[in-house]
Amino acid sequence: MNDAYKELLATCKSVISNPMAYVAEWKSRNPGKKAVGFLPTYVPLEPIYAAGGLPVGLWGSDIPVAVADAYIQQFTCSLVRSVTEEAFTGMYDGLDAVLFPPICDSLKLVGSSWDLNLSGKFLVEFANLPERLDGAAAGTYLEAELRRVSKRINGESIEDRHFPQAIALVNRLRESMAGFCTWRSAHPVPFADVAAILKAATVLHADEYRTLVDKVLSVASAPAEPVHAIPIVVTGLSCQLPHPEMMRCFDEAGLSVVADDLFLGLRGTPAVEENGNPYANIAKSYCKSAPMAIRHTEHAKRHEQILEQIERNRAKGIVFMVPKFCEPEWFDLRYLQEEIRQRRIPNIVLDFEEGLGATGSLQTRLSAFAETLSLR
Amino acid sequence: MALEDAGVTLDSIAFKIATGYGRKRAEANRDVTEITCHAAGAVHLFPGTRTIIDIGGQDTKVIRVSPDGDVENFAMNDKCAAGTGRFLEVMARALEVDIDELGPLSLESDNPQKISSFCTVFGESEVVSHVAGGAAAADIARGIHESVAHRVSGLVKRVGVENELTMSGGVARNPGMRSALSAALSTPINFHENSQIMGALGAALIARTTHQRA
Repeated sequence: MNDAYKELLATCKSVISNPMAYVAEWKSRNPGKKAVGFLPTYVPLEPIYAAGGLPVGLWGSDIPVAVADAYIQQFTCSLVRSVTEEAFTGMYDGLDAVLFPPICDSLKLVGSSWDLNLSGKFLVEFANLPERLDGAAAGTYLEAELRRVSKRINGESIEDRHFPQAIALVNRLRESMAGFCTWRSAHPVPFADVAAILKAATVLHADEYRTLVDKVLSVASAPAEPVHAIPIVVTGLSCQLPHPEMMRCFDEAGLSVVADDLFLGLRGTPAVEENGNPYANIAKSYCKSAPMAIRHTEHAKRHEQILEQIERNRAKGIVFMVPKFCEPEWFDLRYLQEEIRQRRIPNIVLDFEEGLGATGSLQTRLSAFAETLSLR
Repeated sequence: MALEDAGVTLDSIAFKIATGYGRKRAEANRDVTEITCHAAGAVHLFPGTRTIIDIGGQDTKVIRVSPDGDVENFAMNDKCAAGTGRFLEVMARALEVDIDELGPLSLESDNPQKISSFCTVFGESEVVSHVAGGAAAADIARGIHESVAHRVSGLVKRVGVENELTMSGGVARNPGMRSALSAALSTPINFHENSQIMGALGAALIARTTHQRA
């Protein structure tokens, strides 16, 4: 790999290992500007950038959970438990506000708990994004909701003239992520590194991220060495990430993840028109987002998306990597699995939690799956 | 020692396959998961096999194979010792009987005692409660086997039962476990007296095939 890639990976790993250190450093460079955290999987970033702020994705960690268990049930998913642990132990005190999208019951309820207990430290606000995106009312409703949320977090209405630059910035951020994903398919890199680089897109300022990724994409690198790993698609990860050691099991089993839904909330939202009513344009883009379990979309649309990924990448199978206690993903799983089975596409269901348990069992499952695929 | 027993030397082994949880650390020409190896061994001994149950010490696997003997699908329990050989070991200790006696003892039962906890720790305290309550050891033993069978049958149904069904691994030698599982799944189960080496046999068969192809 070239030096630009090494720099990108090292920066991304450093930032995601301690996002709040980056936030503190960014705020020291931008006095008076706000850092706004957001919970998975995505909230529109443009109003935050339009106010000169920094959006910060909060994706949890493998922190041992103790304090959070006093506030929420233990059968809540590990992401919600770990971000709550981090919030209630003061790790997010450097943030000015946190936005909750209402993607599941757990996040909705825990958001209220944060509001009750932490509102003295930072503003807690809900971005009530619509779950149904196919109706005519979704766009009109979202436009009004985005105006309300923008005013709440920024303390004032952002003038429309500040938006074109912010919209262009986020559009370029999505282009960078898409560019990296294309680059990665020609230059296979470990799955855990792909996740680290995409995750950093939700923490680093979009301009800094863009600069780092552009360097990688602009360097003419030697053709990648042929990879003998078996190409597969992974789904179920739009909201929560497995521990890097778990992701390493894919590589060790000889499986190459050629497509996934990591950070699909941001990646899967189309570019926003830069001219015209900014809130209406952002709402219009959001309503065309890629189908995900957290939204009310017809199952057929998500099935088509995954089948297209399998076909385009000539994947030999699919891994359903589903977070424990994630109601939206488990609800979708049965329909998806039925569709995949009918088409006789090899598949396996694995569930996981954020912390690192023993990886021996996961390694055996993935290796056995690879062995079944190698016979086909 | 195994080589001595078999009357061969290390030099005479043309191709070695490592399997099991330590397979990556063993010196071998190739490593293959125990899932593929158990399937190969079971199909070799019982060619009509379509579903294999391997109750191991720390996990339980259910494997479905095609008529050609290739692995089509599998399921494993995870993280928890419920439904595994370790669960049986702990319960035998709580009953103060040798693990080898637990299965035959359970077959003497005429009033099985229910063990409702999947958790090994809570299950052990249930067994102790039954003992303290004066229940017969055979009835408690039967309840223990039915508890494991209930857990394993859920895993089997996830993969889908297709006859013939074969048990592999050391727990297959436990007649109480075979009886409880057969009852829970309403189907006969193939059993071989050397079931504990079925995975090793499969590894050897794969090694032979791989070497012959090379």
